Amino acid sequence: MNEQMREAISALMDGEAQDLEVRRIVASVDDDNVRATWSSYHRTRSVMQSETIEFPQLDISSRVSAAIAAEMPLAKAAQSERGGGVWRSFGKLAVAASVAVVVVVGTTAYQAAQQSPGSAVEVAAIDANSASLPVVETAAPTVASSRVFPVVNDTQQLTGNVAVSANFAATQNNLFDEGVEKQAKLERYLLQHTQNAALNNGQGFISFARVARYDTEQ
Amino acid sequence: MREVVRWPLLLACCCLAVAVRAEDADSSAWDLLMRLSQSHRTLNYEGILSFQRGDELLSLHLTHAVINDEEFERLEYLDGKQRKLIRRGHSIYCVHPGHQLRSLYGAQSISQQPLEAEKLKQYYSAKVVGSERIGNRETIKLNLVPLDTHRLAQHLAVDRETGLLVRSETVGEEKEVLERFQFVELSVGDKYSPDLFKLSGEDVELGHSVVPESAAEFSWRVDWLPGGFALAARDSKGDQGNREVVTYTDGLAAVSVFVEPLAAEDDGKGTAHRGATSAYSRAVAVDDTLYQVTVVGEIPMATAERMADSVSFSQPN
Repeated sequence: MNEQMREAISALMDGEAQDLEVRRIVASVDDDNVRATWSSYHRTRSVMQSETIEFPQLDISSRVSAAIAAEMPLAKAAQSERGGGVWRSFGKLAVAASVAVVVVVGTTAYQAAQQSPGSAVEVAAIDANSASLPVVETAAPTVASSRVFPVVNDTQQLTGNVAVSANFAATQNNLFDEGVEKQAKLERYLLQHTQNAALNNGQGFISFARVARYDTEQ
Repeated sequence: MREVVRWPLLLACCCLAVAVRAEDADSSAWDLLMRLSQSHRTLNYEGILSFQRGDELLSLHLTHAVINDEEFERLEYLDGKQRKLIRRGHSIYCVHPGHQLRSLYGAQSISQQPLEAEKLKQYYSAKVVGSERIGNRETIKLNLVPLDTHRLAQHLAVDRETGLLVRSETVGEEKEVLERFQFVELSVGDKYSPDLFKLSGEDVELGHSVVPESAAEFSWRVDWLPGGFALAARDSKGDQGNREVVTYTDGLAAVSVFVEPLAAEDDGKGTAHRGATSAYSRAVAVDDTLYQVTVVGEIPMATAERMADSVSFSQPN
Protein backbone atom coordinates (compact mmCIF):
# COMPACT_ATOMS: atom_id res chain seq x y z
CA MET A 1 0.00 0.00 0.00
CA ASN A 2 1.48 3.30 -1.01
CA GLU A 3 1.72 6.76 0.41
CA GLN A 4 -1.11 8.00 -1.78
CA MET A 5 -3.48 5.49 -0.26
CA ARG A 6 -2.41 6.45 3.26
CA GLU A 7 -3.05 10.09 2.51
CA ALA A 8 -6.41 9.24 1.05
CA ILE A 9 -7.39 7.34 4.20
CA SER A 10 -6.26 10.21 6.37
CA ALA A 11 -8.23 12.68 4.27
CA LEU A 12 -11.34 10.52 4.43
CA MET A 13 -11.12 10.45 8.21
CA ASP A 14 -11.05 14.22 8.25
CA GLY A 15 -13.92 14.43 5.82
CA GLU A 16 -11.71 16.06 3.21
CA ALA A 17 -11.29 13.27 0.72
CA GLN A 18 -11.76 13.94 -2.97
CA ASP A 19 -14.17 11.81 -4.97
CA LEU A 20 -11.38 9.92 -6.62
CA GLU A 21 -9.77 9.13 -3.28
CA VAL A 22 -13.04 7.90 -1.85
CA ARG A 23 -13.57 5.64 -4.82
CA ARG A 24 -10.07 4.29 -4.55
CA ILE A 25 -10.54 3.44 -0.89
CA VAL A 26 -13.93 1.83 -1.41
CA ALA A 27 -12.48 -0.24 -4.23
CA SER A 28 -9.73 -1.44 -1.86
CA VAL A 29 -12.01 -2.23 1.03
CA ASP A 30 -11.10 -5.90 0.90
CA ASP A 31 -7.41 -5.15 1.14
CA ASP A 32 -6.24 -6.16 4.62
CA ASN A 33 -3.53 -3.51 4.66
CA VAL A 34 -6.03 -0.77 3.96
CA ARG A 35 -8.34 -2.01 6.68
CA ALA A 36 -5.47 -2.27 9.16
CA THR A 37 -4.37 1.27 8.40
CA TRP A 38 -7.93 2.52 8.77
CA SER A 39 -8.21 0.93 12.23
CA SER A 40 -4.81 2.15 13.25
CA TYR A 41 -5.51 5.75 12.31
CA HIS A 42 -8.77 5.67 14.23
CA ARG A 43 -7.05 4.26 17.31
CA THR A 44 -4.44 6.98 17.11
CA ARG A 45 -7.07 9.66 16.84
CA SER A 46 -8.92 8.22 19.81
CA VAL A 47 -5.79 8.29 21.90
CA MET A 48 -5.08 11.86 20.90
CA GLN A 49 -8.57 12.83 21.91
CA SER A 50 -8.05 10.94 25.16
CA GLU A 51 -10.82 8.48 24.56
CA THR A 52 -10.43 5.08 26.07
CA ILE A 53 -10.86 2.14 23.74
CA GLU A 54 -12.10 -1.00 25.34
CA PHE A 55 -11.85 -3.40 22.39
CA PRO A 56 -9.22 -2.08 20.00
CA GLN A 57 -8.89 -5.37 18.17
CA LEU A 58 -12.58 -5.89 17.61
CA ASP A 59 -13.70 -5.68 14.02
CA ILE A 60 -17.39 -6.04 13.40
CA SER A 61 -17.29 -4.84 9.80
CA SER A 62 -17.89 -8.27 8.35
CA ARG A 63 -21.00 -8.70 10.45
CA VAL A 64 -22.18 -5.24 9.51
CA SER A 65 -21.66 -6.05 5.82
CA ALA A 66 -23.65 -9.24 6.27
CA ALA A 67 -26.42 -7.29 7.94
CA ILE A 68 -26.56 -4.74 5.17
CA ALA A 69 -26.54 -7.46 2.52
CA ALA A 70 -29.40 -9.13 4.33
CA GLU A 71 -31.31 -5.89 4.43
CA MET A 72 -30.96 -5.04 0.74
CA PRO A 73 -33.94 -7.05 -0.48
CA LEU A 74 -36.07 -5.60 2.33
CA ALA A 75 -35.09 -2.06 1.47
CA LYS A 76 -35.95 -2.65 -2.17
CA ALA A 77 -39.27 -4.10 -1.22
CA ALA A 78 -39.99 -1.20 1.11
CA GLN A 79 -39.17 1.31 -1.56
CA SER A 80 -41.93 -0.06 -3.67
CA GLU A 81 -44.38 0.81 -0.92
CA ARG A 82 -43.81 4.50 -0.49
CA GLY A 83 -45.56 5.86 2.51
CA GLY A 84 -45.27 2.65 4.45
CA GLY A 85 -43.04 4.21 7.07
CA VAL A 86 -44.04 1.84 9.81
CA TRP A 87 -43.32 -1.21 7.71
CA ARG A 88 -39.84 0.02 6.93
CA SER A 89 -38.95 0.13 10.58
CA PHE A 90 -40.28 -3.37 11.12
CA GLY A 91 -37.97 -4.58 8.38
CA LYS A 92 -34.99 -2.94 10.00
CA LEU A 93 -35.94 -4.33 13.37
CA ALA A 94 -35.81 -7.86 12.02
CA VAL A 95 -32.31 -7.33 10.68
CA ALA A 96 -31.04 -5.62 13.80
CA ALA A 97 -32.39 -8.40 15.94
CA SER A 98 -30.58 -10.96 13.84
CA VAL A 99 -27.29 -9.15 14.17
CA ALA A 100 -27.68 -8.68 17.92
CA VAL A 101 -24.21 -7.42 18.70
CA VAL A 102 -23.69 -5.13 21.65
CA VAL A 103 -20.27 -3.65 21.10
CA VAL A 104 -19.67 -0.80 23.47
CA VAL A 105 -21.28 0.11 26.74
CA GLY A 106 -20.80 3.59 27.96
CA THR A 107 -24.14 4.71 29.22
CA THR A 108 -23.59 4.64 32.96
CA ALA A 109 -21.78 7.93 32.85
CA TYR A 110 -24.80 9.76 31.55
CA GLN A 111 -27.85 10.44 33.61
CA ALA A 112 -29.95 11.12 30.54
CA ALA A 113 -30.05 9.34 27.23
CA GLN A 114 -28.58 12.38 25.54
CA GLN A 115 -25.24 12.08 23.98
CA SER A 116 -22.82 14.92 24.50
CA PRO A 117 -22.89 17.05 21.40
CA GLY A 118 -20.12 16.73 18.90
CA SER A 119 -18.74 13.39 19.95
CA ALA A 120 -18.36 11.19 16.93
CA VAL A 121 -19.25 7.61 17.51
CA GLU A 122 -16.45 5.41 16.30
CA VAL A 123 -18.21 2.14 16.81
CA ALA A 124 -21.96 1.99 17.11
CA ALA A 125 -23.62 0.12 19.93
CA ILE A 126 -26.35 -2.11 18.66
CA ASP A 127 -29.01 -3.13 21.04
CA ALA A 128 -31.03 -6.13 20.02
CA ASN A 129 -34.19 -4.34 21.01
CA SER A 130 -33.46 -1.16 19.20
CA ALA A 131 -34.91 -0.50 15.81
CA SER A 132 -31.92 1.42 14.53
CA LEU A 133 -29.37 -0.10 12.21
CA PRO A 134 -25.66 0.20 12.86
CA VAL A 135 -24.19 3.30 11.30
CA VAL A 136 -20.74 4.74 11.58
CA GLU A 137 -21.61 8.24 12.67
CA THR A 138 -24.82 9.24 14.24
CA ALA A 139 -26.39 11.65 16.63
CA ALA A 140 -29.35 9.43 17.37
CA PRO A 141 -30.20 9.39 21.05
CA THR A 142 -30.50 5.63 21.19
CA VAL A 143 -26.88 5.03 20.29
CA ALA A 144 -24.54 4.95 23.23
CA SER A 145 -21.34 6.93 23.20
CA SER A 146 -18.11 5.17 22.43
CA ARG A 147 -16.54 6.67 25.50
CA VAL A 148 -15.88 3.79 27.81
CA PHE A 149 -15.49 3.86 31.56
CA PRO A 150 -13.79 0.72 32.80
CA VAL A 151 -15.12 -0.51 36.09
CA VAL A 152 -12.80 0.34 38.93
CA ASN A 153 -12.68 -1.89 41.94
CA ASP A 154 -10.71 -1.56 45.13
CA THR A 155 -7.97 -4.03 44.52
CA GLN A 156 -7.24 -3.37 40.89
CA GLN A 157 -7.43 0.32 40.55
CA LEU A 158 -6.43 1.54 37.16
CA THR A 159 -3.98 4.36 36.93
CA GLY A 160 -5.07 7.95 36.64
CA ASN A 161 -5.79 7.33 32.98
CA VAL A 162 -9.39 6.46 33.77
CA ALA A 163 -11.52 8.99 31.95
CA VAL A 164 -13.49 11.36 34.14
CA SER A 165 -17.18 10.96 33.52
CA ALA A 166 -18.95 13.66 31.59
CA ASN A 167 -21.64 13.74 34.21
CA PHE A 168 -23.24 17.05 33.52
CA ALA A 169 -26.59 17.89 34.87
CA ALA A 170 -29.21 16.13 32.86
CA THR A 171 -31.95 15.62 35.37
CA GLN A 172 -35.43 16.98 35.39
CA ASN A 173 -35.81 20.65 36.12
CA ASN A 174 -32.14 21.12 35.61
CA LEU A 175 -31.22 24.21 37.59
CA PHE A 176 -28.29 24.88 35.33
CA ASP A 177 -30.59 25.16 32.34
CA GLU A 178 -33.26 27.29 33.73
CA GLY A 179 -32.21 30.78 32.98
CA VAL A 180 -29.71 33.30 34.12
CA GLU A 181 -31.28 34.13 37.48
CA LYS A 182 -31.43 30.56 38.69
CA GLN A 183 -27.97 29.84 37.44
CA ALA A 184 -26.53 32.85 39.23
CA LYS A 185 -28.25 31.79 42.42
CA LEU A 186 -26.89 28.29 42.13
CA GLU A 187 -23.37 29.57 41.50
CA ARG A 188 -23.69 31.76 44.57
CA TYR A 189 -24.68 28.75 46.63
CA LEU A 190 -21.78 26.77 45.24
CA LEU A 191 -19.32 29.51 46.18
CA GLN A 192 -20.65 29.84 49.68
CA HIS A 193 -20.80 26.09 50.19
CA THR A 194 -17.21 25.77 49.01
CA GLN A 195 -16.02 28.48 51.40
CA ASN A 196 -17.24 26.37 54.29
CA ALA A 197 -16.40 23.03 52.73
CA ALA A 198 -12.80 23.95 51.94
CA LEU A 199 -12.09 24.36 55.64
CA ASN A 200 -13.44 20.91 56.43
CA ASN A 201 -13.21 18.48 53.55
CA GLY A 202 -10.40 16.28 52.35
CA GLN A 203 -9.30 18.52 49.46
CA GLY A 204 -8.97 21.83 51.27
CA PHE A 205 -8.24 25.04 49.41
CA ILE A 206 -8.14 23.41 45.97
CA SER A 207 -11.89 22.77 46.38
CA PHE A 208 -12.37 26.24 44.94
CA ALA A 209 -11.58 24.84 41.51
CA ARG A 210 -15.21 23.68 41.56
CA VAL A 211 -16.49 27.25 41.66
CA ALA A 212 -17.13 28.76 38.26
CA ARG A 213 -17.97 32.33 39.22
CA TYR A 214 -16.88 34.76 41.89
CA ASP A 215 -19.03 37.74 40.97
CA THR A 216 -22.19 36.33 42.44
CA GLU A 217 -21.90 37.69 45.95
CA GLN A 218 -24.66 40.15 46.82
CA MET B 1 -9.28 43.44 44.42
CA ARG B 2 -12.60 42.28 45.61
CA GLU B 3 -13.33 40.81 48.97
CA VAL B 4 -16.02 38.34 48.34
CA VAL B 5 -16.56 37.25 51.84
CA ARG B 6 -18.05 39.60 54.35
CA TRP B 7 -18.47 37.92 57.67
CA PRO B 8 -20.77 40.27 59.56
CA LEU B 9 -20.70 38.08 62.64
CA LEU B 10 -16.95 37.64 62.49
CA LEU B 11 -15.80 35.68 65.47
CA ALA B 12 -12.91 33.53 66.47
CA CYS B 13 -12.31 30.28 64.75
CA CYS B 14 -13.39 27.16 66.44
CA CYS B 15 -10.32 25.97 68.23
CA LEU B 16 -9.49 22.45 68.98
CA ALA B 17 -9.97 21.27 72.51
CA VAL B 18 -8.15 18.03 72.33
CA ALA B 19 -9.64 15.18 74.25
CA VAL B 20 -8.22 11.73 74.43
CA ARG B 21 -6.52 10.55 71.29
CA ALA B 22 -8.13 7.36 70.14
CA GLU B 23 -5.80 4.43 70.31
CA ASP B 24 -5.27 3.50 66.73
CA ALA B 25 -4.37 -0.12 66.36
CA ASP B 26 -5.98 -0.25 62.94
CA SER B 27 -4.42 -0.52 59.53
CA SER B 28 -1.89 1.99 58.29
CA ALA B 29 -4.59 3.36 56.02
CA TRP B 30 -6.09 5.51 58.77
CA ASP B 31 -2.65 6.63 59.86
CA LEU B 32 -2.03 7.75 56.34
CA LEU B 33 -5.18 9.83 56.34
CA MET B 34 -4.22 11.47 59.61
CA ARG B 35 -0.76 12.19 58.30
CA LEU B 36 -2.30 13.73 55.18
CA SER B 37 -4.48 16.00 57.29
CA GLN B 38 -1.52 17.12 59.32
CA SER B 39 0.88 17.75 56.40
CA HIS B 40 -1.78 19.54 54.47
CA ARG B 41 -1.93 22.31 57.06
CA THR B 42 1.55 22.50 58.49
CA LEU B 43 3.96 22.12 55.60
CA ASN B 44 5.12 24.67 53.07
CA TYR B 45 4.45 23.40 49.57
CA GLU B 46 3.74 24.54 46.09
CA GLY B 47 2.58 22.75 42.98
CA ILE B 48 0.83 22.74 39.65
CA LEU B 49 -2.32 20.69 39.50
CA SER B 50 -5.05 19.83 37.09
CA PHE B 51 -8.71 19.67 37.97
CA GLN B 52 -10.80 17.43 35.76
CA ARG B 53 -14.55 17.33 35.74
CA GLY B 54 -16.39 15.87 32.77
CA ASP B 55 -14.91 17.54 29.74
CA GLU B 56 -13.60 20.37 31.81
CA LEU B 57 -9.88 20.57 32.48
CA LEU B 58 -8.46 23.36 34.57
CA SER B 59 -4.86 24.08 35.48
CA LEU B 60 -4.01 25.70 38.77
CA HIS B 61 -0.97 26.76 40.74
CA LEU B 62 -1.26 26.20 44.48
CA THR B 63 1.01 27.68 47.13
CA HIS B 64 0.66 26.91 50.81
CA ALA B 65 2.82 28.42 53.53
CA VAL B 66 2.84 28.67 57.28
CA ILE B 67 4.25 31.98 58.46
CA ASN B 68 4.31 32.74 62.17
CA ASP B 69 1.86 29.95 62.90
CA GLU B 70 -0.61 31.27 60.36
CA GLU B 71 -1.65 29.57 57.17
CA PHE B 72 -1.39 31.39 53.86
CA GLU B 73 -2.84 29.91 50.70
CA ARG B 74 -2.86 31.01 47.12
CA LEU B 75 -4.58 29.34 44.20
CA GLU B 76 -3.81 30.82 40.83
CA TYR B 77 -5.80 30.03 37.69
CA LEU B 78 -3.46 29.18 34.86
CA ASP B 79 -6.25 29.03 32.27
CA GLY B 80 -8.63 31.74 31.19
CA LYS B 81 -8.98 34.90 33.16
CA GLN B 82 -5.99 35.85 35.28
CA ARG B 83 -7.08 35.42 38.87
CA LYS B 84 -5.80 34.30 42.26
CA LEU B 85 -7.73 33.10 45.25
CA ILE B 86 -6.11 33.99 48.55
CA ARG B 87 -6.75 32.86 52.07
CA ARG B 88 -4.48 34.12 54.78
CA GLY B 89 -3.96 34.57 58.45
CA HIS B 90 -5.66 31.32 59.38
CA SER B 91 -4.13 30.17 62.66
CA ILE B 92 -2.85 26.62 62.44
CA TYR B 93 -4.18 26.05 65.93
CA CYS B 94 -7.67 26.72 64.70
CA VAL B 95 -8.98 23.34 63.69
CA HIS B 96 -12.33 22.90 62.04
CA PRO B 97 -14.65 19.95 62.63
CA GLY B 98 -13.69 18.26 59.36
CA HIS B 99 -10.06 18.09 60.34
CA GLN B 100 -10.97 16.86 63.77
CA LEU B 101 -13.06 14.08 62.34
CA ARG B 102 -10.24 13.01 60.06
CA SER B 103 -7.83 13.06 62.97
CA LEU B 104 -9.96 10.50 64.72
CA TYR B 105 -9.60 12.49 67.91
CA GLY B 106 -12.41 13.06 70.25
CA ALA B 107 -13.03 16.79 70.00
CA GLN B 108 -15.83 19.24 69.44
CA SER B 109 -17.86 20.56 66.57
CA ILE B 110 -18.76 24.24 66.46
CA SER B 111 -21.98 23.39 68.18
CA GLN B 112 -19.93 22.24 71.15
CA GLN B 113 -21.28 18.75 70.70
CA PRO B 114 -18.52 16.27 71.37
CA LEU B 115 -17.35 14.50 68.26
CA GLU B 116 -16.94 10.83 68.87
CA ALA B 117 -13.47 9.56 68.36
CA GLU B 118 -13.06 7.31 65.34
CA LYS B 119 -16.46 8.20 63.95
CA LEU B 120 -15.09 8.30 60.44
CA LYS B 121 -14.33 4.58 60.68
CA GLN B 122 -17.99 3.83 61.10
CA TYR B 123 -18.83 5.38 57.76
CA TYR B 124 -15.88 4.61 55.53
CA SER B 125 -13.52 1.72 55.09
CA ALA B 126 -9.94 2.72 54.41
CA LYS B 127 -7.59 0.56 52.43
CA VAL B 128 -4.15 0.98 50.98
CA VAL B 129 -4.44 -0.39 47.46
CA GLY B 130 -0.96 0.00 46.10
CA SER B 131 1.54 2.57 45.02
CA GLU B 132 2.00 4.69 41.94
CA ARG B 133 4.32 7.32 40.61
CA ILE B 134 2.36 10.49 39.95
CA GLY B 135 3.73 13.94 39.18
CA ASN B 136 7.24 12.65 39.74
CA ARG B 137 6.38 11.59 43.29
CA GLU B 138 6.15 8.10 44.73
CA THR B 139 2.68 7.85 46.17
CA ILE B 140 0.69 5.41 48.26
CA LYS B 141 -2.82 4.85 47.04
CA LEU B 142 -5.55 5.01 49.63
CA ASN B 143 -9.19 4.23 48.95
CA LEU B 144 -11.91 5.47 51.25
CA VAL B 145 -15.06 3.57 50.46
CA PRO B 146 -18.37 4.57 52.03
CA LEU B 147 -20.14 2.02 54.16
CA ASP B 148 -23.55 3.51 53.39
CA THR B 149 -25.23 5.11 50.40
CA HIS B 150 -25.08 8.65 51.72
CA ARG B 151 -21.61 9.58 50.67
CA LEU B 152 -19.19 9.19 47.78
CA ALA B 153 -15.95 7.23 47.60
CA GLN B 154 -12.60 8.99 47.61
CA HIS B 155 -9.58 7.48 45.95
CA LEU B 156 -6.49 9.29 47.13
CA ALA B 157 -2.79 9.12 46.34
CA VAL B 158 -0.57 10.39 49.12
CA ASP B 159 3.08 11.33 48.74
CA ARG B 160 5.19 8.74 50.51
CA GLU B 161 7.82 11.24 51.54
CA THR B 162 5.74 14.13 52.85
CA GLY B 163 2.22 12.78 53.31
CA LEU B 164 0.76 15.40 51.01
CA LEU B 165 -2.14 14.78 48.66
CA VAL B 166 -1.00 14.19 45.09
CA ARG B 167 -4.24 12.94 43.60
CA SER B 168 -7.83 12.93 44.76
CA GLU B 169 -10.66 11.30 42.85
CA THR B 170 -14.26 11.38 43.91
CA VAL B 171 -15.99 8.29 42.63
CA GLY B 172 -19.74 7.92 42.15
CA GLU B 173 -22.15 5.14 42.80
CA GLU B 174 -21.65 3.65 39.35
CA LYS B 175 -17.89 3.57 39.93
CA GLU B 176 -17.39 6.50 37.59
CA VAL B 177 -14.80 9.16 38.42
CA LEU B 178 -16.82 12.33 38.99
CA GLU B 179 -13.92 14.68 39.43
CA ARG B 180 -10.17 14.48 39.82
CA PHE B 181 -7.51 16.71 41.29
CA GLN B 182 -4.02 15.66 40.31
CA PHE B 183 -0.70 17.36 40.89
CA VAL B 184 1.64 17.30 37.94
CA GLU B 185 4.39 18.89 39.98
CA LEU B 186 4.84 19.32 43.72
CA SER B 187 7.71 20.83 45.66
CA VAL B 188 7.94 20.96 49.42
CA GLY B 189 9.90 22.91 52.00
CA ASP B 190 10.60 26.28 50.47
CA LYS B 191 10.25 29.51 52.40
CA TYR B 192 7.66 32.04 51.35
CA SER B 193 7.12 35.68 52.16
CA PRO B 194 3.70 37.13 52.99
CA ASP B 195 4.12 39.43 49.98
CA LEU B 196 3.36 36.48 47.77
CA PHE B 197 -0.15 36.47 49.16
CA LYS B 198 -1.09 40.05 48.35
CA LEU B 199 -4.22 40.73 46.35
CA SER B 200 -4.46 42.66 43.12
CA GLY B 201 -6.69 42.96 40.09
CA GLU B 202 -9.36 40.29 39.91
CA ASP B 203 -8.08 38.41 42.95
CA VAL B 204 -10.51 37.16 45.53
CA GLU B 205 -9.92 36.89 49.25
CA LEU B 206 -11.64 34.09 51.08
CA GLY B 207 -12.37 34.01 54.76
CA HIS B 208 -11.86 31.36 57.37
CA SER B 209 -14.00 32.25 60.31
CA VAL B 210 -16.85 30.35 61.70
CA VAL B 211 -19.97 31.44 63.55
CA PRO B 212 -20.36 29.45 66.72
CA GLU B 213 -23.50 28.13 68.35
CA SER B 214 -23.95 31.19 70.55
CA ALA B 215 -25.17 33.24 67.60
CA ALA B 216 -28.93 33.28 67.09
CA GLU B 217 -30.30 30.09 65.68
CA PHE B 218 -32.35 30.00 62.56
CA SER B 219 -36.10 29.45 62.53
CA TRP B 220 -35.62 26.23 60.61
CA ARG B 221 -33.84 22.95 61.17
CA VAL B 222 -32.53 20.04 59.18
CA ASP B 223 -34.25 17.10 60.82
CA TRP B 224 -32.40 14.36 59.03
CA LEU B 225 -28.65 14.10 58.47
CA PRO B 226 -26.64 11.17 57.20
CA GLY B 227 -24.70 9.51 60.01
CA GLY B 228 -21.40 11.04 61.04
CA PHE B 229 -22.10 14.55 59.80
CA ALA B 230 -21.37 17.33 62.26
CA LEU B 231 -22.12 21.03 62.11
CA ALA B 232 -19.23 22.90 60.56
CA ALA B 233 -20.52 26.39 59.82
CA ARG B 234 -23.56 28.58 60.05
CA ASP B 235 -24.07 31.97 58.53
CA SER B 236 -26.46 34.46 57.01
CA LYS B 237 -25.70 36.39 53.88
CA GLY B 238 -27.29 38.58 51.32
CA ASP B 239 -28.52 42.15 51.43
CA GLN B 240 -30.84 41.68 54.34
CA GLY B 241 -29.00 38.73 55.75
CA ASN B 242 -31.94 36.56 54.86
CA ARG B 243 -30.03 33.89 53.02
CA GLU B 244 -29.21 31.45 55.76
CA VAL B 245 -26.86 28.52 55.46
CA VAL B 246 -25.62 25.68 57.61
CA THR B 247 -22.81 23.41 56.54
CA TYR B 248 -22.17 19.90 57.75
CA THR B 249 -19.20 17.64 57.26
CA ASP B 250 -18.27 14.04 57.97
CA GLY B 251 -14.58 14.78 57.69
CA LEU B 252 -14.25 14.01 53.99
CA ALA B 253 -17.35 15.42 52.36
CA ALA B 254 -19.33 18.55 53.08
CA VAL B 255 -22.92 19.57 52.45
CA SER B 256 -24.65 22.91 52.91
CA VAL B 257 -28.32 23.73 53.36
CA PHE B 258 -29.55 27.12 52.19
CA VAL B 259 -32.86 28.73 53.05
CA GLU B 260 -33.99 32.03 51.63
CA PRO B 261 -37.26 33.70 50.78
CA LEU B 262 -38.56 32.96 47.35
CA ALA B 263 -40.20 35.39 44.96
CA ALA B 264 -43.73 34.30 44.24
CA GLU B 265 -43.26 33.77 40.52
CA ASP B 266 -40.33 31.44 40.87
CA ASP B 267 -41.12 27.84 41.60
CA GLY B 268 -37.77 27.16 43.27
CA LYS B 269 -37.64 23.51 42.34
CA GLY B 270 -34.94 21.63 40.59
CA THR B 271 -31.79 19.58 40.69
CA ALA B 272 -28.31 20.00 39.28
CA HIS B 273 -25.15 18.00 39.05
CA ARG B 274 -21.68 19.20 38.36
CA GLY B 275 -18.85 16.74 38.84
CA ALA B 276 -19.06 15.50 42.41
CA THR B 277 -21.45 18.23 43.48
CA SER B 278 -25.19 17.72 43.67
CA ALA B 279 -27.78 20.39 44.27
CA TYR B 280 -31.43 19.86 45.14
CA SER B 281 -33.92 22.64 45.59
CA ARG B 282 -37.53 22.77 46.70
CA ALA B 283 -40.06 25.41 47.67
CA VAL B 284 -41.72 25.48 51.10
CA ALA B 285 -44.66 27.62 52.12
CA VAL B 286 -44.62 28.77 55.74
CA ASP B 287 -47.78 30.74 56.51
CA ASP B 288 -47.73 33.56 53.99
CA THR B 289 -44.10 33.30 53.02
CA LEU B 290 -42.54 31.13 50.39
CA TYR B 291 -39.05 29.83 51.02
CA GLN B 292 -36.56 28.04 48.87
CA VAL B 293 -34.62 25.22 50.51
CA THR B 294 -31.51 24.16 48.62
CA VAL B 295 -29.01 21.47 49.52
CA VAL B 296 -25.60 21.64 47.85
CA GLY B 297 -22.83 19.15 48.52
CA GLU B 298 -20.42 16.49 47.37
CA ILE B 299 -22.88 13.75 48.22
CA PRO B 300 -25.29 11.58 46.24
CA MET B 301 -28.36 13.35 44.89
CA ALA B 302 -30.71 11.08 46.81
CA THR B 303 -29.10 12.15 50.07
CA ALA B 304 -29.38 15.82 49.15
CA GLU B 305 -33.03 15.30 48.36
CA ARG B 306 -33.71 13.57 51.63
CA MET B 307 -32.00 16.31 53.61
CA ALA B 308 -33.94 19.03 51.79
CA ASP B 309 -37.21 17.23 52.41
CA SER B 310 -36.43 16.98 56.11
CA VAL B 311 -36.05 20.73 56.64
CA SER B 312 -38.73 21.91 59.04
CA PHE B 313 -39.70 25.41 60.07
CA SER B 314 -40.68 26.26 63.60
CA GLN B 315 -43.96 28.07 63.92
CA PRO B 316 -43.77 31.76 64.79
CA ASN B 317 -45.02 32.61 68.28
